[in-house]
Amino acid sequence: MTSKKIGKNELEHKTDDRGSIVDHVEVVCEAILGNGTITIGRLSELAKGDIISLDRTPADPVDIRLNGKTIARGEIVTVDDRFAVRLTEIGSEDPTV
Amino acid sequence: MTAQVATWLPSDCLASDAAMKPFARLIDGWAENWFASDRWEVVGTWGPAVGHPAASWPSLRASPYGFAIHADRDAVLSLALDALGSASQPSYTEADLRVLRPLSSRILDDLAARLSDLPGTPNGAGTSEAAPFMLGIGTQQRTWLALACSKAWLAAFVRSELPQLHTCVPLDPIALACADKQVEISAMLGRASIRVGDIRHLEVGDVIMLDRSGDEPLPLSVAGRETTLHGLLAEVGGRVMFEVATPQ
Repeated sequence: MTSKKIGKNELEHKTDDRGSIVDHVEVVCEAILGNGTITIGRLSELAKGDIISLDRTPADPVDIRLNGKTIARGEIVTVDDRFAVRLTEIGSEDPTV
Repeated sequence: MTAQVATWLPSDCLASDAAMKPFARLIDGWAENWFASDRWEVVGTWGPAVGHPAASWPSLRASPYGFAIHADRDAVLSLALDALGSASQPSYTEADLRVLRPLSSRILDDLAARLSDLPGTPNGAGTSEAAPFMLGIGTQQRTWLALACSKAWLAAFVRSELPQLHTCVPLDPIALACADKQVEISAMLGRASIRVGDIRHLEVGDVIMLDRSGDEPLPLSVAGRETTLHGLLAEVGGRVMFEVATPQ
């Protein structure tokens, strides 16, 4: 399989002429590295140097989210000094996605 | 600004890293500037001036900031000789003194200036305040000079070396009522603008380019909304951690 770069400065669009009427619409996806919970009180006290634990290990994949829903997962890579995500899973365990 | 005069210092702080490191660094820089040899260093730790071997030496430089440099007058001439790369000598001619005295004076002036420039110097500490602490400066063979300082001066340096305490702004009543509420946070690696059609055709192995470079701090999202808090990633105990890099 040949990998394709998608995103800003994308090299290739995958949409073909048979797409739906919204295929041309651009949406913003977020790559989420990890999540956690914190109280509002603690959040308001955060200062430089404070550390918050996230729910990931370095080996875990990052989530690609669209409107708060995970649509894919992947591993972090860098391309020309920019972060990128190489997809390793498509879809989500979330049945609503 | 008037410096707060500390009335008490814990005795174990006199030998602590916070009390010693700034002066060790300062002496290293001062000695490197004047002497070819690297044998100059602080001798021992801060101790009471009463009973200190240098307590009887005259004060050759006194500062309004609360410190003084004490030295034996012959030792001061030896400073100049060491700077010139010569060994100490038992006596000096008038010609020797004409060369050595101005040079010694410049070496002491430089040391006093560096002490005044130390971060944390309590600007305005009284000159009349007693200087109960002394620290030797010299080589392993001999203490040549001694630095005497006030409690306020030393306390200011110890404070400046210690981690800064973060003073929190008191929460308003509404925030206080919500203080125990848990919110979800996310560390966002970056964003990508993608067409819906491309999303439909994503495949394993595709690479999504993000809008952030590898050395930029990452934003922290709270309940799905990006905030002004940015941080760096760290690994602690096998977990990914978000270390806050910018204050709120």
